[in-house]
Order: sequence, then C-alpha cells, then structure tokens
Amino acid sequence: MEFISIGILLIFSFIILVLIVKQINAEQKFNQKIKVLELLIMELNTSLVTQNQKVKLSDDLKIKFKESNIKLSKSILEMNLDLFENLYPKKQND
Amino acid sequence: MIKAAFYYFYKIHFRFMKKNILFMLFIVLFFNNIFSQNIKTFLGKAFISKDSSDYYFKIAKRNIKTPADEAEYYFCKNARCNDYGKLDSSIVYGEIAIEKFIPLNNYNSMCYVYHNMSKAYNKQGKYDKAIKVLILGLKVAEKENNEYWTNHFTTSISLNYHDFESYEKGVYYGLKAVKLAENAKKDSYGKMTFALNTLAINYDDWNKPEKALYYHYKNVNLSKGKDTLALASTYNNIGNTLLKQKKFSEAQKWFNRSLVITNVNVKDKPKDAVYYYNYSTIYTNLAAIAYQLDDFEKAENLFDKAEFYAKNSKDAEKLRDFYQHFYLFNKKRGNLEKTIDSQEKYLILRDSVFKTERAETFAELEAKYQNEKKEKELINSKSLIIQKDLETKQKNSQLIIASILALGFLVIGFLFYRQQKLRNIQQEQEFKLKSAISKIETQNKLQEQRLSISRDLHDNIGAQLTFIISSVDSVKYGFDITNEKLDNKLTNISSFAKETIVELRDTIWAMNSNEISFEDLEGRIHNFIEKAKEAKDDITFSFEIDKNLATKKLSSVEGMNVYRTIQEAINNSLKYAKASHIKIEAVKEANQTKITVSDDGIGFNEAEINYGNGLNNMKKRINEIDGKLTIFSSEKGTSIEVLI
Repeated sequence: MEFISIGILLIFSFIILVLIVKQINAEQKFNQKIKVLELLIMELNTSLVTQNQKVKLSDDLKIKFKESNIKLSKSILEMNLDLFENLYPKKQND
Repeated sequence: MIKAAFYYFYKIHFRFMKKNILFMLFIVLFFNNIFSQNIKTFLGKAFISKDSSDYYFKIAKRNIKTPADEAEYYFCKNARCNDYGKLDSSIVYGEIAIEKFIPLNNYNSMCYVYHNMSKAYNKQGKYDKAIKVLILGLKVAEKENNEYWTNHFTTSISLNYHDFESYEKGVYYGLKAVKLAENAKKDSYGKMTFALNTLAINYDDWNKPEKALYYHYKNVNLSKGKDTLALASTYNNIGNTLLKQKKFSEAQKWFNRSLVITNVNVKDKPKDAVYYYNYSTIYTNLAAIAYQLDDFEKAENLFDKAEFYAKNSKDAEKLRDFYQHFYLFNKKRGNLEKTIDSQEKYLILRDSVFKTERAETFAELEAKYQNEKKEKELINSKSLIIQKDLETKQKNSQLIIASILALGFLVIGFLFYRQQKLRNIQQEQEFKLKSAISKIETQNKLQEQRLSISRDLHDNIGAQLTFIISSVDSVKYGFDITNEKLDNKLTNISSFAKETIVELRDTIWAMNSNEISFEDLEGRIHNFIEKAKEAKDDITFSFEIDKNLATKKLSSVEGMNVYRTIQEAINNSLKYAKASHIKIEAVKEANQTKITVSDDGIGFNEAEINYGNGLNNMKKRINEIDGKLTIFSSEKGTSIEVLI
C-alpha cells in the first residue's frame, strides 16, 4: 500500500513538474513575442511622431503661406493702384 | 421419573445418521481411490449383509493396500458393531479408526466415528465417556466449521448431561443447540426439533414442567404440516411431563398417540436397537400409569412387555428406568421379594452411571473443554483485533492514497486552469498590441498621405513664387521705371517672395530629414550668416559649436525651431542692436545643450520694450520643444540663451 502511495505521489509530482515547466516555457515564449511586438510599436510610434512633426512643420508653413499670400496680394493691389494713379493722367492727356 | 421417552426421537435421528453413514461410505468407496476398488466393494457388502458380514470383513482386511483403506475398514467395523449392539467392539474399532483418520485429515469420517462411539458409551450408561468423545467431536467440527456436526454434537452433549442427571448443563447446551439450529443454513427444521426435544426433557427432569411443555408444544407447532410421524418422541415426552404432574388420563392419551405412531414407524422395518428402545420407553410409561391408578393386572402385563423390550434394547438407561418403576410397582403391590430384587438391580445400574469419580472426571473434562474453548475464543478475538488493526491500516492507507489523488488532481486542475487563464490573458494582450500596431500603422499611412499632398503643394507654391520673382525682376529690368514708389513696391514684392521661398526651402529641408544633426544645422546657419554678411558687411560673425554636439540629433521640429530662433536672434541684432560683432555658440552642458546668440550692441531695457512678434515667436518655438529661452540685455549687448 505504501509502495502504491509513493508511486502515485511520484507520478503526480512528475505531472505537476511537467505542467509547471510547460507553463514557464509558454510564458517565456509569450514574453519574447510581446517584446518584439512592443519594439515594433515603439518603432512605429517613433515614425508616427516624426510624421506628426513633419505635418506640423507643413501646417506651420501653410500658416506662413497664408500670411505671405495676404501680404503679397496687398502689395500687388497697392502697386496696381499706384500704376492707375500714374497711368490714368497720361491717358487723359493722350 | 422416566426420561427415556425422548430417545425415540434420538434413535430416529440416529437412523437418519445411519443413512448418512451409508451414503458417505458409498461416496468414499466409489470416488476416493480407483485402485482400491476391491476393498470398497467388500466393505460395502460387509456393511449391508447381516449374515455374511464377518466373511466380507475378512476379505476386505486382506485387500487393505493403503492407510486410507485401513481407516475405512475400521470405520466400517465401528459402525457395524454399533448397529448390532457390540458396543465394546464398536468403541475399540472406533478408537483405531480415529487414529488412522487423523494423519489422513479425514475430519468428516472422524465425526461419524465420534458419534458412534458416544452412542455406544451412552448405551452402556458411560455418559462421562460419551460426553468426552462428543467434546472431541465438537472440537473437530468447530475447527472445520462444520455446521451439521457442531449442532449435532452440541445437542448430543446436552442429551448425555440429561442422562447423567446434570440438567443445568443439559439446559445450557440445549439452549446453545437451539441457537445454532436457528442460525443453521441447511436442515434447520431437523436440527431444531432435535434441539427442542433435548432442551424440553432437560427442563422436564429438572422439575420445570411448564418450560418443558413450552418447548414440547413449540416442537409440535414446528412439525405441523411437515412430518407428524416424527413426533412420536415429542408425544411421549409430553405424556411423560404430564405423568409427573399426576395428570394420568392426559398422559395416557399422549402415550397412546406415541404408540400408534411408533407402530406405523416400525412397520416393515428391521427390529433393531431403536425398535426395542422405543417400545421399552412407551410400555414402561404406560405400566407406570397403570400401577399409579392401582390397575395392577394391567400394569403387570405392561411391565412384562417393557422388560422384554428393555432387555433387548441393551440400553442401560432403559433397564434402569424399567427396574425403577418395577420396584415401585412391587412395593405398592406389597410384593417384598420382587421389590428387593428389582430395587437392587435398579441401584446397581444407577450407581454404575453416577459414581463420584466419574462425576469428577466429568467435571474436569467439562472444565478442560470450556478452558480450551475460552482460549480459542481469546485467540479468535486476538486475531480479530489484528485483523481490525490491519483493516484500519488498510483504510488509513486508502485514505492517504485518496487524499494524494484528490490533492494531485486539485493541483493539476489548478495548473490547467492557471494555464488556460494565462493563455487567455496573453491572447488578450497580444490582440491589444496588434490592434495598437494596426492603429499606428493606419495613422502613419494617413500622415504619409498628408505629407505627400503637402509636398506637391509646396512644389507648386515654390514654382509660383519663383515665377512671381522672375516676373517682377523682368519688369524691373525690361522697363525703365522712373517712379520710385512703384519701383519700391516691385522690390518689396520680389524680396518678400524671395523670403517666402527661403522659408519654404528651409521647411522642405527640415521635412525631408527625419533627424537633424548639429552639423546640418551648422551648415544651414553658416549659409544664413553669409547672406547676412552680404547685407551688413561691417558686422563680424563668429560661430562655434562644441565638438561633442556634432553627433547630437534633433527632430525635424526641434531642428527647425532652433534654426528659426537663431535666425530671429541674428535678425534682431542686425536690425536693432547696432552691433559690430555677433557670436553664435553651442555647447553641451550636462544633459542639455546650450545655444547662445550674443552681440556687443546697445542692448535694450526689458521693462521698456514691448515684446514684438519676433521675441514672442522665439519663446513660443522653444517652449514647443520643451526648452528654455532666456534673454540677457545690457548696454554692453544682448545675449539670448536657449537650453534644450
């Protein structure tokens, strides 16, 4: 009877050990997989940040262009007015 | 009083036993040993044949080949002599047969022999010896766990104690026999009737007629609807009890019934010892009633018959009973000579049975048996305790195994559950990460598309601005513009378009690089300084960058903001400071980078000056990249420090 008890105990111990080792292995594998995915996310995130910065620069430039556009339009309008002022008396004389 | 009436039953039982012996003999003869066929045939013939019995026994003896043959020979001799009243011979052969059977371990045959020997001793009135062999037989039967013989020997011991007038012990064994019969698995009825009769006659002669009648009537009720011919002895016994109570007429009725049944029972059967025994009992009892009722003539006739049967029965007890009643009868009748004669015979027979020495031997034997029995019970109880201990140990072991199994399954179950749970969590985590990746990728693609569109737009705008500059320059060059105001306007438009293009190129430069190193930044600032020098050639510039910063990388926004801030600072110095020297310096301080733009101009009072777009823009740009901008201004010049 004692022999049977010890036998059963050994079998169970072995099964439990195998299960624990299997679980540890699975956990390690998963951690490795997760690490790779995390690295990928980090890389993508960095890339996204860079993209965002570029977009920001582009947006800033767009604002600058708007300002430039207003300024240029104003200058051209003023220049046209000056031209009219100069050229209209000449046409009257002709 | 007369107790012999019981023997009718006892003899009937013996007759049944005889059948058993014959059956057993045949079993032994035909199945035991094929090589001793001859001896068995002769023994069979010797046992059955009355006249040629001795002849066949002689032939059988000559054919003895094995110890088993020899044992069977003496077994048959014992039985044969017993049946034909050769009691001493029966006992001698019985003792030899027992000796031969012991090494053969033939316990059943031994029980038969013990039974025959006890019967012979009983007939001789040697009840002590009868009980001795019965106890030996009982030991064998108990050892072999033989239900039939255990019951039979227990009842027979009770019966012999009765004959020995030790009724208390007789009742003790009688009750024991009844209990055994109740628990019997086979032939419970036969064993019970035998035990009840024995118990009843013990009570009867112990002067407890009520109990005796109770057990007798119980026996009658038990036999109802079964075998009324077997009740002759019970009827006789009931009559006997009633006779003791002086209920003569009732007793006579029961005796007559017994006589009728006996007459039927003996019809067509040999006149053996049982036959004489039964009639002796009945006629002695009937004679006793007759002389009690003073019917001396009838009593005389009945006593004559009783004497005949008692003598032929060769049973000491029957003769003793007969002489007891006969001397009482003669005494009542006044026949002194016959009274003395029969009384002497009665006393001789009685004394032969109840000698003191025999009684002592008897007691010793009983004590020995009881001791042995108690020892046996002790051993049994010890073995029971050991067995229980073993069972307990076994149960404990089973409990331990069950516990280990339960615990093992529990742990394994828990591990499986944990594994499954972990797997679910992992899958969930993995899914979340993959979703995040997918989301970021989508965003990346979206931003990429936006940037692509922006680049196209920048290219178009760049081309349009170049067209404007070139158109304005062509107009200025192709037409002789005398109007100063107009000329200034055209110059302003051209310069402004050029500034915008520069700004566009700077932005495209920043957007085309993922990272901007200080080397790139240095080159870019140098270009700007060169252009500034063209505008203000009286101002000297110095530009120093720490070598440790050569490899430092800035993001596009950081690079762009730092570049614009430096540009703004230089522009301010050029426009307002009236400086002769502008110094640009970049050093590494701890984990930070310090960029300083300083001039030796007139400076400004921070309290008096309003922060225009230029200064505000600088602060805003540096704040955007989590840096710090500090302005130091005095009469000796202005210094702008940027910490990133």
